[in-house]
Amino acid sequence: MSSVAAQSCAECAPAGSKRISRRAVLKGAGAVGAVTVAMPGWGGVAFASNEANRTGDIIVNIFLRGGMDGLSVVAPLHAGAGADLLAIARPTLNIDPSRLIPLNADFGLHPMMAALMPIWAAGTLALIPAAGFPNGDRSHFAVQRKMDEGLDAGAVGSGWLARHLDNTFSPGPTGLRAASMPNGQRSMSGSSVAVTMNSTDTFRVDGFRNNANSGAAVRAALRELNGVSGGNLVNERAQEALIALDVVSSAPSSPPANGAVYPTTGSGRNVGRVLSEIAELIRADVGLEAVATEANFGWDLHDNFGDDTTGRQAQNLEALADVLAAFAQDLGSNMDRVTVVLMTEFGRTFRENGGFGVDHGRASTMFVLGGGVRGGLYGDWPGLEAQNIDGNALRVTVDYRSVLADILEHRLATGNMAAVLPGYVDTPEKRLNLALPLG
Amino acid sequence: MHRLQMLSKVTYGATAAVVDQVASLGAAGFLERQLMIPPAGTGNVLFGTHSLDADTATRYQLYKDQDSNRPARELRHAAVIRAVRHEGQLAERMVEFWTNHFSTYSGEEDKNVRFAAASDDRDVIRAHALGRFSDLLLASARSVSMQLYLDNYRSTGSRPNQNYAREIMELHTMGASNGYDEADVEQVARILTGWGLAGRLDVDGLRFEYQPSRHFAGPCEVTVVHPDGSVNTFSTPGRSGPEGEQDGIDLINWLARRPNTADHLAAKLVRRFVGDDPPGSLVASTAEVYLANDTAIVPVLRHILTSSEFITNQYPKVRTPFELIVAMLRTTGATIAQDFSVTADMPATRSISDHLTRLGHEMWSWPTPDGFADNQSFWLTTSTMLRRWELAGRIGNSSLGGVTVDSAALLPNPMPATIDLVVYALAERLRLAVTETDVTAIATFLGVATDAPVADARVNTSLGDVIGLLLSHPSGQYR
Repeated sequence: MSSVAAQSCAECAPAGSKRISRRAVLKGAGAVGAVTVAMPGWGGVAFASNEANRTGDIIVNIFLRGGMDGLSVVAPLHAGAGADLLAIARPTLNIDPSRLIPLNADFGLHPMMAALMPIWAAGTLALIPAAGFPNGDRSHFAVQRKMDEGLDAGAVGSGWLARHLDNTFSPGPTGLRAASMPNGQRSMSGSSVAVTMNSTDTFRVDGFRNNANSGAAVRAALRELNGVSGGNLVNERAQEALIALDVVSSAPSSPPANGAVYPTTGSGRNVGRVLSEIAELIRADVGLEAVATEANFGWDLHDNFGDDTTGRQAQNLEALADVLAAFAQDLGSNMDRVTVVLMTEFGRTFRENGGFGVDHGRASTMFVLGGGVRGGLYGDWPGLEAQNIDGNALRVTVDYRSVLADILEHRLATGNMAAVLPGYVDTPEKRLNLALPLG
Repeated sequence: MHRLQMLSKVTYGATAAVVDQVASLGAAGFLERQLMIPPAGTGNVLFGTHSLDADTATRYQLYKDQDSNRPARELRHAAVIRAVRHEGQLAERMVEFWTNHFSTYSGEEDKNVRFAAASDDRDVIRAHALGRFSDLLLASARSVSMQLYLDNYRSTGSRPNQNYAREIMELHTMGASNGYDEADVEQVARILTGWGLAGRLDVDGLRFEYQPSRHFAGPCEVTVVHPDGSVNTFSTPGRSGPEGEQDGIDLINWLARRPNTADHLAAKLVRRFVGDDPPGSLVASTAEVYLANDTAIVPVLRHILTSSEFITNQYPKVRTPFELIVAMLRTTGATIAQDFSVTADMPATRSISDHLTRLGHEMWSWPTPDGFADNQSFWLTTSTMLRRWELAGRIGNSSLGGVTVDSAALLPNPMPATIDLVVYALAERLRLAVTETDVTAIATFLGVATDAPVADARVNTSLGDVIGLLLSHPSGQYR
């Protein structure tokens, strides 16, 4: 292990100790920013009880499918942290350390991710640069499936978020407890409450002539034709869809708040649309507790990784940072009760390949942001010296489930950790303590 | 019972012609005939300027300044036309299966897959759909489309790119982590170096070429643990010069014949044709048939489609969106416009492509090489349920662009006296299993009682919606 510990930020005590309440810092910062959120009048009428009754945060799980390179998200600033070794390993892909945005004395953020810096400065962004799947598999599909299911091996057939919802008491009345957007995301699979919406705008039944009263007659007929007595998955999904239609169609729509601007072009366009709709549902207070989505920006850069400005990785990272920044701005003080977690199945190889790209690796950067997050860099930095490299890749020092465990316990008041993360042996040493307790 | 299976699971949906044919040939005779008919070709599929029979250079010239998604839309339009109209229904089903098994993504601007995807469909998938898997695998390895998509043409002896090597093992043959490890992936990548592309898209087009100078000419070993625990090693001293290509050919032939590959393919095929949770005994016997027939596909299909598990139909199978569209178009006797243009989306091209996208089945644009999953929970979500109903409503009302249904022709003749009898007759015609509750729901939709005289129910003005509601029936979502 290298002597450089990632776990340090200028004002944070080491994780695990009693430390300054980052939440207080956030609130102060928010006040300075003079961000005023005008709560629309209807919010207090239709769904007032949802926000007041919810025990934990709203969790937004964003899976970065394709294997995002982490060594270009959080990179060493100087030789002592491994900058020279990275430059040798990636002769055409490396970012000049002087271009990185310093996060602490040893590490910096990709220059195209500057949009995240206000969140970092507010102390509500945790970055875990050597996190990942604990076992050595490098198959996109095998690792994604296991991470969606909250496992390190085997399969259980349901997602970790679905099991969290199933095992956690939810005070009524609830509307739409959970959503998966834009497609079924596997961390929600098996959920009895999650609704899949491609988009809130298109969540309606088109195609029929008789659309009087928002197609009430068509919906009534569909309800009967897909009666619960059918007992198969089609009938089940049909009934869920019809109920969700009622909730979504009665929730008022509103544009992004606080001047937030989501990317409308490039690789961030689709994810930007989805996150703006998630923010809209959160602002509409329809009862959301969990959302699962994914960002398939094209991370699988076996070739043409590109330079640090116009290259594909750089453009993808910029889009990701812009979307997250817009989401946080859009939600304003609502972010106090939202936790966003981002993970990917693996990082990329340490050394670049023959196609100016990088193949499947091991550790990558996880992101956690929200009002209840203690900002900073977390986890042991494994080092880039030959003896520390794991099969041409950054070694995983933080099991992704340790990050989820912090969130589940401290931000989501989960009802049964063992059911959500089966097989994960939860010990204090593994925990990063990157989230503040609720309250 | 077996005849019904032939209609609903071997074909994409029964038409009057198929019903007659099954009646005259019997189930076994019908199946044998289906096993003989190759997939549809490129003729009489699309009208106007299209690229189905073009080479990559011509296709590049046609499409280089066009919407980058249009080549995939062309393929989707053509796939639906062929699956609706071609007599070889089983062959078209296998085209759908192999297209997904060897899934490529044509949506990336700079990878150029879009200029080669239609050649892959024609020369790899359709040419070998009912042939021998080892030939299909070899053709896929040499496919311009696959070379571009999974980067093998960039891989060199000194800097191997593992993308294709990993997926040929994990997805195309043996299955994830099924008897090999990372070191084997690296070895496969080295053996396949030199398999690349020659030519230029803007000049003479791209073609497969083995390039000895990029081949790793050194010893390589790939070790596989078979499901029974035995170990088999492929080794090569690493030939140089033109002979180096044989290293890869031998490897591909060896991979195609591993018991691990047999298990992986058998499980996928049984899942496709029998059910989401394929019975283990049928998978095992299918794998044996595959190996005993030197990877020939027809005996494998015959084994599955004559098995008791298939015939007894114990396992419901939800229609994929592609199957759903094709089934609706076949049972309604819809006319589908075959007009296609390279420079603008014609109505059927757009509507077919858009609906496949909304239903989650954006063929040739699935971003990852694993292809679409094959189980009902993947396809059925609250969102796609709404889209399935929308599709039904549009087809019933002839408001799916470029698709026309003669709805009056679906009505019984002579017309029965009461509305319930009309609904039952329509449902039978559309091959849907409706109950009394369903008929009541449709009468209620029309604002009348079930025994109301037909004239009172304004059937003619609401016929499109009634057909749409019937096509939304759960029984139509299953094969």
